[in-house]
Amino acid sequence: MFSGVNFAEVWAATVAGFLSCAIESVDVLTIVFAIAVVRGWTGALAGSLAALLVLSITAGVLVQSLTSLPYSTLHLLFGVLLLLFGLRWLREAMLRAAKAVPQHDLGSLYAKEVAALRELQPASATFDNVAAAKALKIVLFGGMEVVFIVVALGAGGSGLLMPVTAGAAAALLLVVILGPFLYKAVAGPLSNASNIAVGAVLSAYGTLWAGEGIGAAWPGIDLALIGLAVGYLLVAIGGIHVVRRGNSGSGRGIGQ
Amino acid sequence: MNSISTILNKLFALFVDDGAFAVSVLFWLAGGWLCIATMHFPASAEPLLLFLGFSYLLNDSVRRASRT
Repeated sequence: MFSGVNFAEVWAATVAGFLSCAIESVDVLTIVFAIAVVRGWTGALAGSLAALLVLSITAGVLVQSLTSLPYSTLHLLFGVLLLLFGLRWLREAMLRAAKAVPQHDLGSLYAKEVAALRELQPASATFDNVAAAKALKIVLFGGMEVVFIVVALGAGGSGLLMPVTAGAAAALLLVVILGPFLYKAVAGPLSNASNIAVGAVLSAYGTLWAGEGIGAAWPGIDLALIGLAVGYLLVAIGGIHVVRRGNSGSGRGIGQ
Repeated sequence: MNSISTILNKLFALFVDDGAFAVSVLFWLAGGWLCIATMHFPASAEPLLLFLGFSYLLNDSVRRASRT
């Protein structure tokens, strides 16, 4: 059994929190920006702040209530959930990187949202309820993944709540301040690479904790976590090449 | 009611995209637990077998999805 805080575990949690929150924040900010441009800033900001408050309270309450459970139960529970979540994230990132599904296009996402918002009836009162409700929904749904990562790593790991929360908060702040200037880089190949990195780290945590939960003997947490994360990265890179080669051979793939 | 089902669907989608893949991952983990509990594997083989199984299932799911 593992105890105490490990160097690799803390860094992996910080990176997972930072990158996942950065990836989700860019998408969410694009839509909130579209809402603000079309319907006004008051409703968009009020909805977004309310959603952030709900997400923070949810994460706090979940972490507090879950930490009363035995450590072994938490590891198995969050190990299985992180395994499914991480592998699903990695699968999606691989399909995007291999161009088997459309690339993330923030420009068209923004244009689509603006067009949809212009179809709605204009705000009749000083406070735009429609804009606030839409912003609330977008931020809530967009933030669910980040909340899960914070809760899973924060409650399941010893001493990981601070690093993962700090990573997520730093990413949110950075995206809000620098997002408009960096969005092209963040939405391009950097986004694919970040997605693969997050998927690999979360899958590594999931495998480690779920494996520990079923009684597998790991060679030590730092070594196992690094080995698994690197292993999943290599598996993802190899898989992407195989799919790309297969698609180019058969003439399949997006944009072909 | 509609909002609750939307939230539940979103929560489910956090963990399951390809249903067959998710079920296979759980089966591999359950199989691993059964093997560890009943057989005497070398300790170093247990983590490796888990990782190799998940990696194979991941690549298989990606290959299947890219063909559709």
